[in-house]
Amino acid sequence: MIFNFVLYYFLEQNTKLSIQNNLYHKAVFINNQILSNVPISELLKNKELASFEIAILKEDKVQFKKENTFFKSLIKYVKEDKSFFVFRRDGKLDGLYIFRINEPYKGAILFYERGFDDQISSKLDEIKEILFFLEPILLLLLMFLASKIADKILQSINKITKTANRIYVTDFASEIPQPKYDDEIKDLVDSFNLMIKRLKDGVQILEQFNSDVSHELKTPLTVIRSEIEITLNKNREQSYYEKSLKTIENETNQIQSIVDNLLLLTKYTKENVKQTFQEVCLDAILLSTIEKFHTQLKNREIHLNIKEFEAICVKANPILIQTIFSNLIDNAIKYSQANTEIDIFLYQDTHINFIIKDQGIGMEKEYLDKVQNRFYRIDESRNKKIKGFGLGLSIVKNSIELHNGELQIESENKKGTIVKVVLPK
Amino acid sequence: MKILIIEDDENILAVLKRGFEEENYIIDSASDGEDGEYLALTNSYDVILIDWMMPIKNGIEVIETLREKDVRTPIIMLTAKDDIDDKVKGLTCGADDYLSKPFSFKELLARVNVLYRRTLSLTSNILQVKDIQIDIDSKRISQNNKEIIFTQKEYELLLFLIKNKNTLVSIPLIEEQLWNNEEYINSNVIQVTIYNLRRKLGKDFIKSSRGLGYKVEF
Repeated sequence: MIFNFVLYYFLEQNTKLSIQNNLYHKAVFINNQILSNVPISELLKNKELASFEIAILKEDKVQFKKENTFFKSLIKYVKEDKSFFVFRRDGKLDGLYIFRINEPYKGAILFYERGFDDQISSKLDEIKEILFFLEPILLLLLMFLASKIADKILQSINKITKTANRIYVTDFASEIPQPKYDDEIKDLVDSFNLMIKRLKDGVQILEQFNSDVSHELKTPLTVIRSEIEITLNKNREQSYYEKSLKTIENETNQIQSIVDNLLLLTKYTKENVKQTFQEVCLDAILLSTIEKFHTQLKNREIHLNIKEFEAICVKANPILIQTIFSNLIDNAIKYSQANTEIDIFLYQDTHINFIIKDQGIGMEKEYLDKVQNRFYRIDESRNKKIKGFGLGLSIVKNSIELHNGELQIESENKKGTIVKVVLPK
Repeated sequence: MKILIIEDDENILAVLKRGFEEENYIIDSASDGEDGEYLALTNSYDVILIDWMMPIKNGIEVIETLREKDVRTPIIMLTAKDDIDDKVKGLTCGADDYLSKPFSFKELLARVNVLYRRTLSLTSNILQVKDIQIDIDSKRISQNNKEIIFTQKEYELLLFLIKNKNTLVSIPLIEEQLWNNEEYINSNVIQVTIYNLRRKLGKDFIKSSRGLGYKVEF
């Protein structure tokens, strides 16, 4: 279709030019005749001029005109610069050609031709006939070429599809082979392979998490199950039953705490946490959190100093903020020895800053990143000398990230740890 | 029967210890792989129970070292890992059995007994020595279809001597086998136990080499 329109346009231009050319030659011929004093009536007997309306002007006055249907209004075009005008009349194209002369007098020769587009359509008809035979052949050729190219592209895409179908959560073994040529398909394969790698990493993290969760839950369950079986095996003193139930209660609390913490980790996302934001005063939450640790601080003979303290109110999730404070203070106490100090700072500059500094056991640099992972504990022992299951810091990190903040940890082995929480204002 | 439990969770360790001791087993325990390995290499146990994930040295590594050093004691692996692949890994590294947490204590007890029976090369639970029959599972001993009552220590000592048949078993070895690491014997309780066994089974059942030890021949 587009091809046909373009063809028509060029044809029209081409025809206009040839008409102009033709008219120019005729005008020169008439001018020459006038110069040789041939009478105009004689001149117009020429067959080639029969199809035109012709007028000859002398000093803006009509000296001669033939079949002057339209000339009255056309004379004004003589004063314009152009020499060829196209009019649309009764659905046909008309052409006016003006040949300005200086000899033997100043004037112009005007040709008016009706329906010159008929010439175009006759030319078009010729081309149509050619195209009528050529187009199907061209079409078939194009289809053949297109299918060849498509095959080539589809071959690569088929490979991608096959690999994609093979990918399964349990099997990431396959990688799509790189195509030979450096093109868009290669980019696609690259992106796809990268995606496979990212998926693989993600699943690995999930698997690790699963195995950690199951380990942490199965340990207390083992104790509970064995405790019940052994206790029920014989008739016991009442104190035995009490002790047994106490053990079960402790283990149940541990399971409860793991489940609660896991829910806290997965409950909120960056999208839904905003709906839970409300105006909270960090200073008030911090103070009430510290109060909960008074007994523990006293028992462990650890002194807690509030070094800097400002009243700061922001929009945040109060439960998460309380969890951040509580987990960090709990960690600082857990990893501190008796007769040491814990310093706390809460202030704002360009950001809101909460810093907690202990003189505890600290840790080597290599562990700094890992401690923020779920269930990671440096001693790996779960020796239970220090209670906990390695969820605390990852919850803190997660809670801070939900508030678009940042967690920074500095630590020196056996010297102590500084944890800094930076939140936007 | 003497069992070594290597388990890093003190709560699990405590409940298992209590359960086995109630069933008159003698228990040694360690809370990390290295300690456990040391105990297993320096003492003789009838069965070893071992956790997989432990600090310092994990269960797999301990089992591999023990098997390398030719310790053939039956080992049961106790672990939270319950994948088929994990089970296969545990069993191929040298463990004889595998129990996923949370397990039933009764099942653990039954499996320990099965492995113990295997060390005595028994296919049934009845052990026939000369004219006495010992029911390993119910811990009953009878002579000519007449049941003889034994104390726990007498039973353990008799079984230990039978297990090491035709070999002289020294008094320190008996002490090590019948009492756990934290108990010390400052008396002639072993000699008295032997005396009682002889009284019940007949003088010739246990032969003694004064000062060196005792043996059962059959």
